[in-house]
Amino acid sequence: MTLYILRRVGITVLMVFIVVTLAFFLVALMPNDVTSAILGPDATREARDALREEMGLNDPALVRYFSFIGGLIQGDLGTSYVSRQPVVTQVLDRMPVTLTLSIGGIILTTVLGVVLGVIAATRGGWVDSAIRGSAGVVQAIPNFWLAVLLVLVFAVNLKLLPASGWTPLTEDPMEFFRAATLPLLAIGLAATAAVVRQARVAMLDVQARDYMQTLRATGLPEWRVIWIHGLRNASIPVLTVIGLQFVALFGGAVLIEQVFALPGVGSLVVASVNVGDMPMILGVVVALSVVILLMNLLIDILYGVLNPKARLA
Amino acid sequence: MTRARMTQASPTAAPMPQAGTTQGDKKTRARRSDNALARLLRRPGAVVALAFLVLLTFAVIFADVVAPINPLTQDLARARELPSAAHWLGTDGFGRDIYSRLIHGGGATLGGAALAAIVAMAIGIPLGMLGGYFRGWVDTVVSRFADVFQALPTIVILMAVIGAFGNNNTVAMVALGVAMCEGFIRLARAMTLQVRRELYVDAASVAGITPASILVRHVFPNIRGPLLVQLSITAGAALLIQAGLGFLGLGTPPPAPSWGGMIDEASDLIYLHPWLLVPTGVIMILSILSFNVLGDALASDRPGGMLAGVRLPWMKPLPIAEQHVANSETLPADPKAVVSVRDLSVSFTDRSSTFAVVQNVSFDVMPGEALGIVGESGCGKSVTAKALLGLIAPGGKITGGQVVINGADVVGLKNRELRKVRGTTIALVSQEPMVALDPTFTIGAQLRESIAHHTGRKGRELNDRALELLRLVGMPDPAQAAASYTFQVSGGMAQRAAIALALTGEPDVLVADEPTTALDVTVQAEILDLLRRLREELGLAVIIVTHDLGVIADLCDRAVVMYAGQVIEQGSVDTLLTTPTHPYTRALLASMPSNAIPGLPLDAIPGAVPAPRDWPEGCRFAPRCAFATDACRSAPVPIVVQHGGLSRCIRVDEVLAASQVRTKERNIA
Amino acid sequence: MTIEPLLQVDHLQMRFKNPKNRRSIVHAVDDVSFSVAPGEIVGVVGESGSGKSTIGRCILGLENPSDGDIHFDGSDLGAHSKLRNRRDLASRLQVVFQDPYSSLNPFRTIGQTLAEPLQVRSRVSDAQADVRARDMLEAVGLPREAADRYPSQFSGGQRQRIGIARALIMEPKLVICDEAVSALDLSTQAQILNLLSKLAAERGLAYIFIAHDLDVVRYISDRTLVLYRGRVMEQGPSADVYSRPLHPYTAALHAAAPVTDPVAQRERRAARAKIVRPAPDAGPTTGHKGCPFAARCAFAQEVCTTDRPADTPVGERAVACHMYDATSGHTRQGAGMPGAELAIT
Repeated sequence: MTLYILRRVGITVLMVFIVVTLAFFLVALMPNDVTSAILGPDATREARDALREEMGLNDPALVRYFSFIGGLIQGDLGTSYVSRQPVVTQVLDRMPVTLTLSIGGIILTTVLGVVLGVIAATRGGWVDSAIRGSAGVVQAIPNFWLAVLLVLVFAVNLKLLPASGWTPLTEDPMEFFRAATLPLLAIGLAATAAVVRQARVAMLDVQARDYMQTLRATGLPEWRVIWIHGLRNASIPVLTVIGLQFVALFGGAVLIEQVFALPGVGSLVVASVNVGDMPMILGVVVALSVVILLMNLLIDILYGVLNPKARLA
Repeated sequence: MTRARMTQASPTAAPMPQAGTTQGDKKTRARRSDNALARLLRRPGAVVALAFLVLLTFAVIFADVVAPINPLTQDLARARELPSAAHWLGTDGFGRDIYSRLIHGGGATLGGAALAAIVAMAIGIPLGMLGGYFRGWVDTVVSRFADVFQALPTIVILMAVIGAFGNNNTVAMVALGVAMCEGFIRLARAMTLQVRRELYVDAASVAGITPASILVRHVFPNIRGPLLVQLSITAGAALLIQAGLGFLGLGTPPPAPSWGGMIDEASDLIYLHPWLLVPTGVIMILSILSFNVLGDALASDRPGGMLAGVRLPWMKPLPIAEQHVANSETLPADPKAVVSVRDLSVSFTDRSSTFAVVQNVSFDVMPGEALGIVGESGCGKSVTAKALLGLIAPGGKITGGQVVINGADVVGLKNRELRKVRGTTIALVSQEPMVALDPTFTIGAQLRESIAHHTGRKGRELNDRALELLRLVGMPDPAQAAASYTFQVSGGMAQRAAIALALTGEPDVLVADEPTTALDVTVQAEILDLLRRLREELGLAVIIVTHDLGVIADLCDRAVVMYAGQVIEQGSVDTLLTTPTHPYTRALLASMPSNAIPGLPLDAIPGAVPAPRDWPEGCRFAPRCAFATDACRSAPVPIVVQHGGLSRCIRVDEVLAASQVRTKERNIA
Repeated sequence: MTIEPLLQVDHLQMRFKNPKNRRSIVHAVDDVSFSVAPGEIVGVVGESGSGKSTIGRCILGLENPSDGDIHFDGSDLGAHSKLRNRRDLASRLQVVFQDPYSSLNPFRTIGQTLAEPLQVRSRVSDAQADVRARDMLEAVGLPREAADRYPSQFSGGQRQRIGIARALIMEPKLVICDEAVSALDLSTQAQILNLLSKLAAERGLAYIFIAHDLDVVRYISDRTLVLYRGRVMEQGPSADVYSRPLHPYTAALHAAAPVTDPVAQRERRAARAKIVRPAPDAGPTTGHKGCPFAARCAFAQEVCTTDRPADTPVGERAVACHMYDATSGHTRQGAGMPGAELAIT
């Protein structure tokens, strides 16, 4: 098992490195001239050149890359073009909000999705059709549209939950849950639907396997056959989907944070794109890729726990 | 006379495939003429989805005709209106016509999604196929490339691109395509790896076909189904992301209409004009739903296949295939027997009809006895054996008869009661030992689970008993085996573990369904030795299902021969295998290479076993039988006591006479 | 005058890393040598892990041998072969696979599948290829119209006939039958064996007939090779190998296959007990030294676990067994013990 984990860690580090490199060069090769965005359209040529020199933009790309990597190792993600503050502080400031949304979302998604999927697969009949049908429709709903709808219904009309704003859990748990409910729902529902479908297919596949027949022939109670043996085997392919949905949840966070005016990393990125603040964008990309790859590592480990063939063969 | 017939039956002449030998021959031929599109159109959901998308596409292309009102024209006086005759879907915050903006905005949204999907496909499929086919470093590079795009949310990637290259829908959509290609790469790669292992690819390779030709002609047609599904899903996802970008004001800059942008406007106007949410949401949901439904329909498309489907209550009942049922020759269940089967019949249902697979099967198994059920594939022996435990595959049901186990009939019992019988009175060992046990639990864990269920022992006693059982079945190192997973042990050991599991409930009868077919012959001999030993030591009765007459000779006291769903001969192994009374048993024995004389053609039985739908009216073996007469073909043949056993044949005397002649001939030869 | 063998395999080796234990090496094929004369049927019999299929795949070019020479009809196919393009061989060397269900592309008609190898040679027009395909279908006992149908419309036995047709349409000299009848029912098996014999006799074909069933191999082949864990245990004329085996493994294999006469089967069981030790299968390769069968052989002595037995020629036959006694011709049961007859009735 240790060997398996070490292998996965190694690949994770490699992947972070590749992603960061690609992102950097994408940014470095951009044709846009950021200096005019910062100084305004009336800036003189000299002023712009001076700024370029000061920002180090005239150095060759490779040099900038290595200094970037150097900074990265020390925890320095560069300086924002706009705020002239270190990128790293702003990103870390806003990470908790986004992390809460995505991790909360993935927990909700996993539990609800797997349970519903297994029920759909084992009950069959109208229960199955109903669950499949709902999952199909829910998956077609854009999460940002759903967010607006939820605000309309619960905040504007029913006035039950706030339309915007964020309270950290540590400050006031009650307010936290009130503020987090709608965003979590908006973010998690479509992902849940995807997990339901995958869990259902995985469970149907497991039901057809020989060992399920053996277990039943042994006389074990049906609940053990389904929820202990069946679920464990079905979880293995579902884990892959959960990993993918986690990534998607971050994408969702970018949009949802706009709707609910949440001070997360998503809204930070949107603001940065509009002004062309590349270091900030790059910083967010780096931070997100680290989080995602760490989550993938966790999922890989879980996969190894559930699937002995993966960790032993 | 008979001898001439025998040589005539010798298959040096080409045996013609019987009409209807292959399942539903005529039907499949007709079905071949339809293609994937026609099959798709038979599903109502797919038809609606396809129609919607086609209509939408036309509307968007001919937007100026379909929605003549200029989407940019503002009319502040008529802002925030609900639907009316002048504005079918009302107006937005600036008085612009919503319907018109939706149609004109569809171009950017749908067109962008289509562009992205096509780019993704064009890049992903070739890369995936190359990686899967050539493997090695090509595969590593391709896989890492795909991994990169899986490591980041697509929207963030796009935002980085837009930040770098500016807000341009086309650029963004191409970038989206590149980011989404990883789904195609993964799928094409996985499918190519799978297809590559198929023997027809090897055969093409041996025939001298170039790799490029193999990829195009052999690999691609076999993977295009799932790829089409992926295309549909990708299009839907691209639509979602394009709209998301629009929502953020990216992609298509305002005031040009885009679906995402309109949702953004709706969000701004949520207090004043919530209606705006409705048309924008509906069109997005319908579009994405259509792509997904289409994808689903393509995914469950199986050419030429038959599914044992669940029938909803409002569907019309299926026609029952006309099949003559032989008169039941039941004697009442034998009270001394541990298993007594009378007139067991099992039928299966698929999309077109219901047909019997097992008909009127009767036999007894005495305590401690070994009974063999022997026949070729399709005779119903496996179905019969599993029916004894109430294990019928989906789509099947027991349509008649009794299975009396230790005095109680188990047919028709609810699952809860059946569970009490399973494992405690009657247990099962199945064919493939490597997949018979749960691969995610150790052998020991599964044994302990079953022991706990059956005996209520706890703690260390569970482990002790598990090790005891493993020792009983001859495992060389019980502790090591208990700690192992199925994939870590050999086939023979896995089968021993499966037998140990079957014994946890201390059953009276063990049903072994082709337990050695997947094993080497030397391992088979050991497993048969084990079964023999268990019979002696535990007094266990064994019902063994097999196609190998030698196994019957080795292990069994009595045997039941099945053909086309019926028992055609039954008797003690000593007589049945040396002087069979039914022509099928006789022909089977005669055709075995071990009974042949090298240099002479084998006495092969001409023709093939009829499929359940095509069972003839009279004797089911008559079309292939050297002794058949008109009387055999005209009416079903009952099974009666003959020459010390049971035989379903009216020509037994001639069969026995011919065997005597043949034995004399062989002795002379 | 000796006839030049059609196929000559010398010291073939196939090694790869053990998937369950990356550090150890599995010798799937371990120093195998044999030859096939034109028109001869050589049976290769062994259980799983014997390497029999791997040998076939090496000859066909579907795997690359780690070492050894393969000379076929003038071409060098071995581990050190410089041959880049095997397309030329397709007209001389062909294969019939085991699984009738996955050996035909489900998306191509039978006619397309049969014509494809002909078209690759591109000296044949489409019309001619079609005629040849239909002729071949008739030769294997199927109707000419079958060329227009798809594999899913045929039974397993019929698909195997199609596989044979595909192999023979190129008029090869040697066909490798890789467990060609193992997946078929008894009655179909007999039909296909007859077909294969007949076609070999009519067309002067040579076969390498790979199987796990000694009875089938004895029936159809002229000579037999007995493999165990990648090594040749013995080889010789099929009738002799079957009725008077020189190697305990061959005798064990023979004794393990049950016969249909219950009385005879009881005797066979007793005979088997004298040849095989009751230890259940020991698992994957337990080392490279000595004889691989030693762990289960009732005749094994210490030398059998330390030294690899050499190939001992015995007239037309060969055997690799330390316990083989050249003077008495029987296997020794240890020093000073009388020889034991290995023949199984």
